[in-house]
Amino acid sequence: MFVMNQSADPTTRPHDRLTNGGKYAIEARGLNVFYGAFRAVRDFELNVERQKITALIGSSGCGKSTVLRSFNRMNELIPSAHIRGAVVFHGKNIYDADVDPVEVRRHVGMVFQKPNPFPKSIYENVAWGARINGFRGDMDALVEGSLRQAALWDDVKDKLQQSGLSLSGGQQQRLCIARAIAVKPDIILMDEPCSALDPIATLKIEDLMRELTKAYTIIIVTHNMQQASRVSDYTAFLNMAEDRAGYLVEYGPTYDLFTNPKNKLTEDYITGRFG
Amino acid sequence: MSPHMRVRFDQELAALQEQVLLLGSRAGEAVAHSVQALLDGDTELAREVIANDLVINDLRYAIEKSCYAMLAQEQPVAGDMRRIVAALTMVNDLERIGDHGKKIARICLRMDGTPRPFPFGDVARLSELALTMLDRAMRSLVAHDVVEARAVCVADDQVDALYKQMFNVALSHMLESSRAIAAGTYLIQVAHELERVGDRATNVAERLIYATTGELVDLNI
Repeated sequence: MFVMNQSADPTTRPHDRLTNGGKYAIEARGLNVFYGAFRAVRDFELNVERQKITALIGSSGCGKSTVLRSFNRMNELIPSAHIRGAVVFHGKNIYDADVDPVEVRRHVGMVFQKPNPFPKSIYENVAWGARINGFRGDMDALVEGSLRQAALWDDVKDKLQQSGLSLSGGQQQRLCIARAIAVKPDIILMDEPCSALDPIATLKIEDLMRELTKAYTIIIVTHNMQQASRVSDYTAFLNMAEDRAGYLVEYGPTYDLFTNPKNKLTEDYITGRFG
Repeated sequence: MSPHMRVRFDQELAALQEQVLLLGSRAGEAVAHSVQALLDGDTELAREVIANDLVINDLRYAIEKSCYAMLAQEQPVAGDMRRIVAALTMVNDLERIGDHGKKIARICLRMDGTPRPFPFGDVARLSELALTMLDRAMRSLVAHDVVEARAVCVADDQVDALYKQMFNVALSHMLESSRAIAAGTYLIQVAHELERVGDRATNVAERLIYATTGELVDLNI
């Protein structure tokens, strides 16, 4: 329902999604997210630029991860979570009643803070998602292509049958990225993808992120100001209001936000005057 | 909101501004003393200006080093970053103002014994104009006053006009009499050094505007 080619086979979907409607990769419109009666995010508006990296920054509890999970309906895994407003993807509100959340998550993949490869072989970690989505093409080629895109092929090509859990932390995270891109999503959400990694592994993931924007849109939540300024093209700064609801303070090109932010609250946060 | 953090960094930024102001003061003194030495034929004062240029250079490099340390260790962004990179540019111009003073002092030494067949009075006037520009630039830095910074460049037109006038006067004297050539040449050189002081003061004002607003401007138009 989001692309003209509705085949479940990921390799037959057009790689270039720029023709599939809309100027932006995904849009949040008047997004409010509730956990029961508690409003965690208030009136959030964001147009995410295609094939760019957008960073969500802000202090703990300001709703960054809640917003991120709203982009692929992962909040629904929390029983009390519900939303008001819309998240528009290819011209369709993903929260409409006729939208399958599983379909959404195929198009909008996610990589988590702690690497979580399946307790399967490296090969199966990548192949499994494509297989259950009906992929019938050359699986070896798909696995190799995904691992190459994730800058992991050279490390693992001679041990594809080894467990994914045998890899280092940084390699496991790249395996999770390979797993996500094997189903050819449009967007990859990353929730603090490097916070569990050492500095070298972090820089490798950051380099990989920049490579991935040749084909994908990336939205990243990070607590690391330097990472946000290094890696992202656009940055959205969220803050927690007195009622503890998160709201958008400022959004713009990362260069502008980090050299000359418009809002004093943004300046105070990114310069470490409050946290 | 949490209590104010980065107290030490704020102290370092405040110290940076104090050091830049000190450098501006020393550089301005160098120019003022060198002009005085020239007008009075005071070679001893001229030698002091030349010797003190080493102090100005050392201060410039000390400021640079502290900027590099803050850049490396504090990873400044936004206004903090702008203040530090603006300071790096300012100290270059301020140190060069000190150099202009040193060059005028050297001209004073070279002129020792050279006849002055026409008055050098306009040198004092040009020096006053240029040093007023520097003073305004420094005051705009203290107050983060963008309006004052923009006003610095207005005076630059007066400096340029007086420089041209002095150049033409010196030229006419040199054309009238070959005895005026040596003095006329030195006068033009001194006027040129002072005209550059005005340009550099404008550069400092431009960087103050950048540090305060994030806007890169060219006031030397």
